[in-house]
Amino acid sequence: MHTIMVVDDNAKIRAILEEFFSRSGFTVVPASSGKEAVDILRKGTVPNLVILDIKMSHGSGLDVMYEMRRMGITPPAILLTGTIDAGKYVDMLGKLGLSEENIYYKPIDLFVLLDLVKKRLGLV
Amino acid sequence: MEYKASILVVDDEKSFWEVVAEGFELRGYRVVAAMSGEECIEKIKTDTFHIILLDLQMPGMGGIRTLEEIRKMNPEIEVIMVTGHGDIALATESLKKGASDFVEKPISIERLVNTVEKVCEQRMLRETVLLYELSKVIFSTIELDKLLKIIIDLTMKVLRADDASIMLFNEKKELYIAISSGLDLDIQKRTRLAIGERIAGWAAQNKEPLILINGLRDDGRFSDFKGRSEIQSAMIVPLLKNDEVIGVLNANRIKLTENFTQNDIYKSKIFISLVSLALDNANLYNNFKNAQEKLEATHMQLVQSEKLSSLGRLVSEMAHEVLNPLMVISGNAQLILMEGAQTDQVSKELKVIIDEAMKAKEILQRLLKFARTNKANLRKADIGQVVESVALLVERQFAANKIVIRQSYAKDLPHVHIDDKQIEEVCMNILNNARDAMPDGGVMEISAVRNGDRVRVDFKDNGCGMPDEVKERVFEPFMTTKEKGTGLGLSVCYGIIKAHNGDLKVESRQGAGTTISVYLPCMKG
Repeated sequence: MHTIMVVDDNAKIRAILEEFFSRSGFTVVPASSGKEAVDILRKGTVPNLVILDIKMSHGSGLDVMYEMRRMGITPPAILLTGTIDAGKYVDMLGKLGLSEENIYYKPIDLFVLLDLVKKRLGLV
Repeated sequence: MEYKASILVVDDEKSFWEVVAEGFELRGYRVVAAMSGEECIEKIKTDTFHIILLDLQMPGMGGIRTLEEIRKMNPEIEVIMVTGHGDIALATESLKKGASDFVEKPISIERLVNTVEKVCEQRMLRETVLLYELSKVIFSTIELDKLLKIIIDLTMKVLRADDASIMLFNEKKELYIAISSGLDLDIQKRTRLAIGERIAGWAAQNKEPLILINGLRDDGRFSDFKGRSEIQSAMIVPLLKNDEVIGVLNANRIKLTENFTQNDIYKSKIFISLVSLALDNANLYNNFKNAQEKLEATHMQLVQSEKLSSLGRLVSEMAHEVLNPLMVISGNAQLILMEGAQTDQVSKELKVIIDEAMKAKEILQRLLKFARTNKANLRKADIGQVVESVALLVERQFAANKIVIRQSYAKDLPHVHIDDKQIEEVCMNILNNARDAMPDGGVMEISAVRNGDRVRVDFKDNGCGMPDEVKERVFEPFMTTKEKGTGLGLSVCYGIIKAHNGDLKVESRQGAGTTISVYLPCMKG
């Protein structure tokens, strides 16, 4: 059973993603901020995949990705955003070797997200 | 020397007019004598008289016949018949034929002078009334076109001309014919004179009125010009405001045998100054209207820019996560669907909820695009090629909608400095709108020409056009007349073109089609 860590400061969205992926057969580890996510990772949890919201107070999704690289943990990551302009993150994305095309704008069809997760995990 | 008036004494009795001459000259009049009716007619052809003292009984051409001839030539000269004792019947007849008054010989100089002065006063009164009426008419309108027509009609009447024209200055300070009566339309269109050029130009330059008799041949100033041969005499008067020339009035006599004289110039001085004043007013009004229009246009542009910038600010405030609630909506709907416990109807409705949430995202993203100052990648381009490539893309779809595309690009089109992708998006947007305006087919004419230091690309369709209310708001965000439109297309285009330092204009009439004009600055060097 694969583990997905869902990091989003919006409680309702966290709840939806948790419910959906549980029903789809995954174990879900939620976190409400970048800081909380990094704490969880440091305590030893190793998710198979991470779904990250970019804009959060107390550490953004991109900060979490930086931290994971430093820690040597590199599970596949899917970036989501609730802002309409991710253009401002272009520089930070560049440093991670990513571009605006790697960001998915909410709302995303849950089943599309599921396909993406399966692909990244090599389950398809 | 200023005379009170010029008097022509017509009498075959030398003794009579010698006395008259002396008497009047002493009182400051100018007196000329003629011994017969024929001599009288000759004299008035070339000289100016205010009063004619005409002997009723003369051998040869008698008084009545002379009076008739005078009246044919000049309806305005005051003619006082000098009758002998017992000629009352003839005297009355002469009044009917246009004489102003009559006096009976023998007559004292005092009485004669009184009669002449009375006639002069009446004449001045009539002229004053006429001027009053004239000024009422001339100042009845401030619109240049109507005013010119009124003036030309009055000029023909007041100056007794067979044709007349008024020349004004254009922006290049050239004289052009603003209105004419009876002039060949071709001559009218072609005539453009610089100050000093030809006769009108001469009058404008020297600020002096001119009379030309029998063409230009004999006048030393203009002997090398070719004029119109049918003109018998011509009067050319500069129109002055303060000391500045604002135009030229030309009047020609073709049929009337009496030439223009200095007296005509003198008499028409007041008329001319009324005309100058009225024209100046009309010009000022015209300039005012133009300035107002420009101000309106600038104001509109300012309002539009203001809208754009405030929307930009609005959008950046929305950097907060405006899309999250949409995810909550669609996410929850999807979870319910996953349960599977609902009826087909409910399933359908849930799907609608999901779709609409997705659509809301699209709208917001287009809004962002509109408000964002896109960093454009500028490069030197041939606008013809860029537009042509977009036309190629839509060709098939247009053909399917029975729309013919015609393109014509000027050969010497200068290059422009543009972001290809953005300009292509603009063209695409415009063409799509045009397609929607021609549901039953039509013609799309695309053309590109040089326009000063810019290139202008026109997209002209013969579709349904827009009513004025829509046209005024066509570049506003969320302005759409379509059911499925977001209303952002043209506002995005406007933003893109403005960012290129260009301009976007629309001409449209409901039922007659629309033309969208894209202006882009030429590339320097």
